Amino acid sequence: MCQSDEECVRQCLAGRPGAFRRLVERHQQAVMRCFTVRFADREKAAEAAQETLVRAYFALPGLRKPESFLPWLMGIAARVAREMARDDKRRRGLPLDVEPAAELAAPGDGGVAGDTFGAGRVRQVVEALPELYREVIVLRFYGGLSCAQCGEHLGVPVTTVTKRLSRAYALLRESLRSEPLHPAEETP
Amino acid sequence: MNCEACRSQLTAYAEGVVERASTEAVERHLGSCPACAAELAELRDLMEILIRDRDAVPAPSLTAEVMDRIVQEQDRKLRRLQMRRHIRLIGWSGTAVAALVVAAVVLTWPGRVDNRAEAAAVLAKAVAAAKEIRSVRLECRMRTLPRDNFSFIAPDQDFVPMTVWRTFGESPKWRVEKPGRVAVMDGASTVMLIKPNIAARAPAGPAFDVGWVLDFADPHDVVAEGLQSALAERAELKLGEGSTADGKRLLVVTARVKAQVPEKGYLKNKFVLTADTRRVFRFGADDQRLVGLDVFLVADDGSEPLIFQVTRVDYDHPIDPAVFQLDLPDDVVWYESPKPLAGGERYAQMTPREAARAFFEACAREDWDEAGKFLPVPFTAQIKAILGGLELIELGEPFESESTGAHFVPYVIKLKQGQVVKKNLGLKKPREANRFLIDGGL
Repeated sequence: MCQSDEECVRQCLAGRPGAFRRLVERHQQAVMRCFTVRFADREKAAEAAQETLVRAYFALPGLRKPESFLPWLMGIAARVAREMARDDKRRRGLPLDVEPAAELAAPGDGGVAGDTFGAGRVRQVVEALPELYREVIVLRFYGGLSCAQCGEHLGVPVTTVTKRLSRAYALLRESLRSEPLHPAEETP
Repeated sequence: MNCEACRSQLTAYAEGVVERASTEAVERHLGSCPACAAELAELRDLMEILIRDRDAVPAPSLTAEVMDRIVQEQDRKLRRLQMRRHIRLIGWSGTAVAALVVAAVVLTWPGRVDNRAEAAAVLAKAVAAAKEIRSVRLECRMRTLPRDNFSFIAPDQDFVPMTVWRTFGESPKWRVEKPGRVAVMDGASTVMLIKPNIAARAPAGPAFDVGWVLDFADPHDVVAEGLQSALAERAELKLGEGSTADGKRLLVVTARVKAQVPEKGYLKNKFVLTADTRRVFRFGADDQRLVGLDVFLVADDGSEPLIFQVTRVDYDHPIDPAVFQLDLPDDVVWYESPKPLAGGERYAQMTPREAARAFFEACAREDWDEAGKFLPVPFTAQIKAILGGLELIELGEPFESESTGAHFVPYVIKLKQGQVVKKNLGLKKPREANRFLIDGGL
């Protein structure tokens, strides 16, 4: 009688939306952490995480596999991130094809330091990865998905997930080696 | 395996997603190739760095904001629906926590002014009144077994006292305690102690089957859900009046809550969430705060025994911080999540009945290594003393629970002390264990 994700989802759908509170408590950190990689601004990451969770609640009846709540939630998070990035660019009149990560990764961007999560070198390097590799690192580490869940979310076999991770690790190590971690940043 | 082949497998190996045969090949190579072993160490360092970076992200609780936004959004949706006069109270769209006030209005739609609507209105006001509450302490009693699962219902047993402490806000904490079991969530993790010395740990959250009683201790949720279940199923919802011993006027709302399990299932009426219940809420007439709650089991034979009762509620009383710390005994035995057995194919292939037989026979000859393979917790001296030297009299036809996937094997055993036990052994096959483990019924 443990309260698995699946049971919580079923309870919500059976007319006990209070059970959704448990899902929020359980997964908000993962969602929040994923957004911190996309948005350096704390307020904005929190807003995106909220939006994701609220949307998830109303989209629950469309969740086909209740046991895969987290990968499904990450799908909503990805859409929210895309929409917010697009709205942002419209507001600032930037061309739509500019990757948000490329902006964030600009070195010496001291202007937003006060609003960031104290993001150190590691996060910057992750943010600067090409989308294909950043995505899998964000899901696996910041989102806390297992390799199998990453595969489910991305619609690819587990072997593809480990291959992408492998390549991502190589890129990360290369970046970190060219500009080694400052010890103080390593353990914030 | 050469270095190239090994390196291509390293990530998958570090993630534990390689086939067993490849794992062995990778390990053999790593054992003889310092360069690849160093590569693996570097890989693990990098994973560690990423995990540390993730853990460094402060993640404030969004629960309150998210739930509030859901409430507002639901309310808007329901109002829109109401405008279109396509109001459905049954099903997803009409079951909003949010929509309580609106729902009460809907119920008083022309021609439907009845007691049910007033009851809904009382509950809706109670939901609003509950918003400001910072902490709650509930004194309860329940017909159950002191060491059994928190939600286990035993109508033929005496009442066991149960106390719940809960704080709300930025860093919510709680403690649920009955004589043989206590669970504490201190903000960081949830730990449960089954007395005298078996403990288990879970991430912060309502683990260990205490979610339902925590809901009762959330003045916002308890009434919201009570009302909601009643509305969703168009079940009985009645308003009455009463008074406390010292003459305080009370509003009494009765709701019937149907279990979400198959009608004839084995779990039906065994646990709070799988039981049909009649719930009687008592509110202060002036402040709309919950002061008491009775939960009656609606049994198959038509009787309605009282199974759970909140006898006292204290709001916003100071709670000693020590309440949210759990003192564990020195000889504590930690429950660990089951791992596959080395060379466990024989166990993986057992049917529930074969697993039950192997377990009881191992207990009979006091082979605790063998018996331990079926038990997710370590054997304590107490369990050994009870089960050692038992005599297996009979195993019945196994059956399966549709809702939980658990298998049950009826059994009759005679303990060394002469007592005959006739119960159903619950068995589950967790994927990570790859064999049947005992889930209850001992």
